[in-house]
Amino acid sequence: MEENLKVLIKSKISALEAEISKSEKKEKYTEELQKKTILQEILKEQVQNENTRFTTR
Amino acid sequence: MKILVLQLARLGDIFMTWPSIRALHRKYPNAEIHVLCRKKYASALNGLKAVSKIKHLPTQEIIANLTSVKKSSSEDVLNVFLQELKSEKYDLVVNFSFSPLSSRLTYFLASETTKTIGYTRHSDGFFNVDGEVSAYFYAQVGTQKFNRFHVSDLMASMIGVDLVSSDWMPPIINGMTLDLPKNYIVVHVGASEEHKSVPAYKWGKILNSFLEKESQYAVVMIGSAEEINKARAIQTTVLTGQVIDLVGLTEVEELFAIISKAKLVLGADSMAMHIASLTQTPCFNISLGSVNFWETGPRANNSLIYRVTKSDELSADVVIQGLFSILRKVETSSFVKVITQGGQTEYISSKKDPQSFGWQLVKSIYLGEKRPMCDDLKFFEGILKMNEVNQVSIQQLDAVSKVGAAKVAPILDRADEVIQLLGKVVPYMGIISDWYMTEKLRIKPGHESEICKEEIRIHQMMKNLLRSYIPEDLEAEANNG
Repeated sequence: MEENLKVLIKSKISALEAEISKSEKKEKYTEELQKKTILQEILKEQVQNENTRFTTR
Repeated sequence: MKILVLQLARLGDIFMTWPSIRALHRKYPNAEIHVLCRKKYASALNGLKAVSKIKHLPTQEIIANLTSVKKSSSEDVLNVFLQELKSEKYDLVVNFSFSPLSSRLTYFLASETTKTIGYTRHSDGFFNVDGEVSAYFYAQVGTQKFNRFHVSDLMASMIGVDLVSSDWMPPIINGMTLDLPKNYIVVHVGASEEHKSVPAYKWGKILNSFLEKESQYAVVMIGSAEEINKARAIQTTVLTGQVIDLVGLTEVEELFAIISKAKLVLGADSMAMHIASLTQTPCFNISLGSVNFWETGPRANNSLIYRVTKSDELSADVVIQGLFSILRKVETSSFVKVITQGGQTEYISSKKDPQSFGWQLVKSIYLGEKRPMCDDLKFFEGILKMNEVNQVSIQQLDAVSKVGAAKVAPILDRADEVIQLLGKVVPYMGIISDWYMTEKLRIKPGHESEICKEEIRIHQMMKNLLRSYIPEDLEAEANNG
């Protein structure tokens, strides 16, 4: 993966992380929060190459 | 009935999922089965008749929209995908992916009318290993573990079925003619990860030796486009015989056709081997490094597994011995032998099994079998230490009603850290600590008293487990503080 794209993905992951932890303090695992965490996981897989079987949390 | 199967792993894992998807179809013959996979691996589902729809995770579209100047954002792309998935109103979602992402997708799709199987989340978003088989998978499957159940069998157990011979079949391929010699063996030159792969110079040595001795056979090399250079490097070192290089040139359907007509498949733990399990083509599997053949090994009858710790230790002569043994149907005790009958596989080795205690201990915990004997002093010391820590946790949990959870929580956290540390440093203790930590993950969110009750239940189970290894006098001493 291109280095610039990697940086962009990582910054989006961090932005989502901030939004998620802010929401987690205030609310339950709402559908909106679920979508954010799904997006974050999809992006994390791209930079960590984690689409293997034994990746867990 | 509508079922969604989540399989977001790579080609080999998708092929290992085929039998369970067929079994699911056998269990629910009128169900419509959809599979969610990654676009780049979707071809691995071609020809699987039990699947009526293949859905793709829109990863590339999401990434593309991160940089796009267009109005639609990554969030919009994901929203459309998730809403479309939800609108299918699945009755059952089976998560065969065992990943964080798949656990979140599974939870997103769960509802009163949509049941789920496999990794999911608790209602507060925490990871949840739902079900006994998923909990087993989470705790005991993977590298450096002692599991000996095949991943395909574990998937079948998740959906409550036993695999049968007809679950292990290739797709029906019509009208494909292969321009290949009558007698050939297939060599998969690569593997999904470098550490599982045989280096090019070793392949050269093996193929030279094989073709020199067995001139009636040709060698067909297969692999992905990323392995083209490796295949070229191998071919330059082969001085005799016929080597046909198809690396980077084959579609999945062609691989099925090539492998089904081969006399054997030679390679590391890879998708070619998993295809061979479906075509019932015997494999000579070079099981390298941390690969656990018990959980992902070949399933075709009469396959052989050659276990090697490092690629430097891989002997070309031993590989040749194994190939001859399969091709000439000569018995050998040098390898792990694969015996498959009625869809069930056994791995048989005549060598001493140094990890037998670990597997016996796993079975005693999960299947209720007798606790195995151990003569490792470090293990007993670890048991005593873990028992001590467990006792402290029980005492703290008993005190919650008087002093409140906030006061005991840091002590419990510290106790868990020690339990995990013991699991890491003491031989075989990881089996117990991983079981324990996984059981704790399964505790649902709830009122303090409910959580406390569940915690005590797990610590009592732990106490019973540990006491099997503690002499009575020491146990009495420990209980008296």
